[in-house]
Amino acid sequence: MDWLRSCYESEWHLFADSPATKTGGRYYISPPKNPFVGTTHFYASRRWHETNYTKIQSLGEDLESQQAWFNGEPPAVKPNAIQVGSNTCFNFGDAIANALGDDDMREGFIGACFTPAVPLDPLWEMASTYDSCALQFFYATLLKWAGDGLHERMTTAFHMLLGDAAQTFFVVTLPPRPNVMICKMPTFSVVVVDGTPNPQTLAMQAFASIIRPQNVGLYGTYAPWYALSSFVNDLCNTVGVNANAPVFLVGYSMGGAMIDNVAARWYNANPQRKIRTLTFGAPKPGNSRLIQFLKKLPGISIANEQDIVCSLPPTLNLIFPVATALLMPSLYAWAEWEQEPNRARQANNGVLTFNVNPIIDTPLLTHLVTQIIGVQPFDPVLPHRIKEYRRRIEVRCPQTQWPISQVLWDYLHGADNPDIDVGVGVGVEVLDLNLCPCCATEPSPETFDVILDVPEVPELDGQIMTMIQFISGPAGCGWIGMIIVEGEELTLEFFSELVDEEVLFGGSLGFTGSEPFMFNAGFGEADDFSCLPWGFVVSAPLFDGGDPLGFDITVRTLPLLDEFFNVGVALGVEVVDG
Amino acid sequence: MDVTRLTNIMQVTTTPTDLARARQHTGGWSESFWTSLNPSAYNPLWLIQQNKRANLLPGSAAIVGFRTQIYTISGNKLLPGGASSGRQGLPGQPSLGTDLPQVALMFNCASVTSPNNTRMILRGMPDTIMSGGEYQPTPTFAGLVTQFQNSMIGMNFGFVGRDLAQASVRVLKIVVNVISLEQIPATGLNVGDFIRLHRVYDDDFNPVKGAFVVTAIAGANITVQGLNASVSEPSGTLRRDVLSYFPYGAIQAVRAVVKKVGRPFEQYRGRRSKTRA
Repeated sequence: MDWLRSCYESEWHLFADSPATKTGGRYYISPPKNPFVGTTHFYASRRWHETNYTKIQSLGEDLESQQAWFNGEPPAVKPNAIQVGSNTCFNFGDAIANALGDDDMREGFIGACFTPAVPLDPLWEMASTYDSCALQFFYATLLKWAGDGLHERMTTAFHMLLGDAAQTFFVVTLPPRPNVMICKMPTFSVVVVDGTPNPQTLAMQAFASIIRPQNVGLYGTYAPWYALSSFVNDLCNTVGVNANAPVFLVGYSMGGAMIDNVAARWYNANPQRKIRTLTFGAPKPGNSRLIQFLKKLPGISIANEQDIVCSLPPTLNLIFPVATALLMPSLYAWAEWEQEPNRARQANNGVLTFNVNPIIDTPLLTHLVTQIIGVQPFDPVLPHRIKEYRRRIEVRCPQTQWPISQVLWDYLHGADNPDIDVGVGVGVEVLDLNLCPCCATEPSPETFDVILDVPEVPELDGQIMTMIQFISGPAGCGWIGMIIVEGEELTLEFFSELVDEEVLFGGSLGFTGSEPFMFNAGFGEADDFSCLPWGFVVSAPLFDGGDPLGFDITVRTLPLLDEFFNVGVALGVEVVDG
Repeated sequence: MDVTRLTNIMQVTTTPTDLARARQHTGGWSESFWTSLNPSAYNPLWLIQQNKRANLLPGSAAIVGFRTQIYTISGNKLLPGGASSGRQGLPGQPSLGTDLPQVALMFNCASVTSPNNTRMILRGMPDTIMSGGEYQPTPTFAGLVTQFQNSMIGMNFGFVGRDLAQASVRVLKIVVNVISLEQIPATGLNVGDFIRLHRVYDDDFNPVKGAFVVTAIAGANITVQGLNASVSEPSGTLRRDVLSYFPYGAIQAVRAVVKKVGRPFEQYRGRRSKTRA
């Protein structure tokens, strides 16, 4: 800390044995009453130097570096006001050998500043250090798996992160209730709430209903979200979560609004309880009274740049012209909704910008309001999908960081599991072939040639199904391809989230044998339906006269147009228990 | 030699009574002086000085913080060292009012050991000490000023400056890096020292200024680096360029001057630089 009239970015010399090494840094405005460092240090500003006489460069701010003005906004996650390092290090500089690598940094800040140098509970820090991009990727993957019902994988991932002491409870529910995973540790708990199968619609409920936050006593929120938070609370009580122990709450979409409600209620029940939150794509959860509670809890609220769900219901400035134009003063009911604190907007390349929201403009809001008036379903907000959150975090965080080990990192990517393991029971295993992630900036390779060997599964009865999934590209483009399945008694079905008019197919779906199946897929003229999945399901009985069956699939594809990109291919197997 | 620059961080908040015509504003400024003592020695003395300084502030002003920075004097240069800072809360006197906070009081501060002197300006002076356009303190305020002066003298507080006790000698001639002198300064001059030229003009009557490092001395001729000038007639003087610390020997209030207060150090969001990168 230093006394300054304005904040700026500059460079500092901090290493006693490597004085030429410069370290970039910036000042931001610290909270009132923040304590000063209790010793002399070299992080001070050169603006205080005596100006009458020539200075010699020593440790401290570089005397020549340009000082770039900075607005002084603190990071969304403020570092703890603690001294990390000895007074000797502060007074005389540190050794270059002690320089921190990227693994020790959190969003550009020294990681140790965010947590005690010697954590009281290392596992709690590992499970709840929400500003670690690797941990964000961990939870985004878990949320994706929760939506897919892959509770075994979630359990394995928790065990890999926290050890065998982790007790997990996965609760599968019917909409509108979300799936909930609770990981109970001896000293703390983690609650992961997914967004239900139709998260966007449910997250936009408060917006679609054109209501102000409903008073639930402590604060105002959307009554169904409050009711669902009671459901999560009851679940935690049922499985024996310690109501006074630290808890980390993770939620996606409507699940985010739910955990905001849970967090506020638990905070009121016990303000001393350690509660941290991590949300992806959460809408505005309630009124200012709820936000005041949430501001007291550390956490981060990630919103993809184009995920307008996070900015709904809209602000008064946005409502005014629309309400005036449509003569709908009732829209002013939205004005009382406030966004989550600690908002971090995530760009397409994964970069986080703190304290800003996804942008909604007046034409878009007008369009949404007309959809409400016409009782039409909202258009899909593609950046709202948890897969897209996960992808963007991965762009920001291409390699693992603390606290995620490389083994766990590989497991989260499925790299440890090249052969499909269907021996665990009913479920879907998806191979992320990573040929070209959806919405990638680089063109796809000209051809994909994927061979999938589906193993025999003697332990199960029923049917084995393989999903070959493509991700659609921009309008006017298409695919030709060939699927070769070597097996018997096979059936092949087409599936798509695209409406029928938008996809044109050639080839025969009456495929039942091992002959190559040719297909020709083209997309219509819709403005933007990229990143929606379509594909085929190949299924076969598991047994044929007592012998277990397996089959081999080869997929060979060729994009029709050179500019065809935004394509991914995923292959998976689902075993339907007969 | 290690010296420490001590800085008091001040703040003033205006107190308009008719809020329909004006609103409150906050401004800030700092005042610095030096010491050669170590922290454990200067801290109690500094606290006394701060209290005496706060007694001269109007009620709406206060000392809100402090800052220290260590410098090592190395020839004619300063080597910055570690800094520290903190909060302080020493309010001014409620009985003293201020209007537009721009009245300042200039002091002349002489060194004990050298011809050097410096000027110290205290900002945020209460307007009640101004009358007829000049500094006219009440007897009480004059007593407070004396107490403030006493808190600075004899406490090993002082200032840093170019040592004027170094002897000056006439420059007879300069031929590309070689300076012919009347004599080597009596206070000494060694290879590696810096010299500074004063009022030296070259043959085209352009001033020859700056500090130059001495690389060789031969009789009354010295060789320096980077002096590309030609002086064929005696012109100006030369003095060894040395920074020194000078304890205050005498401090006298001179007159009232105008020094407005600046932006505050707290709560102000900062002015965007014109040269933002």
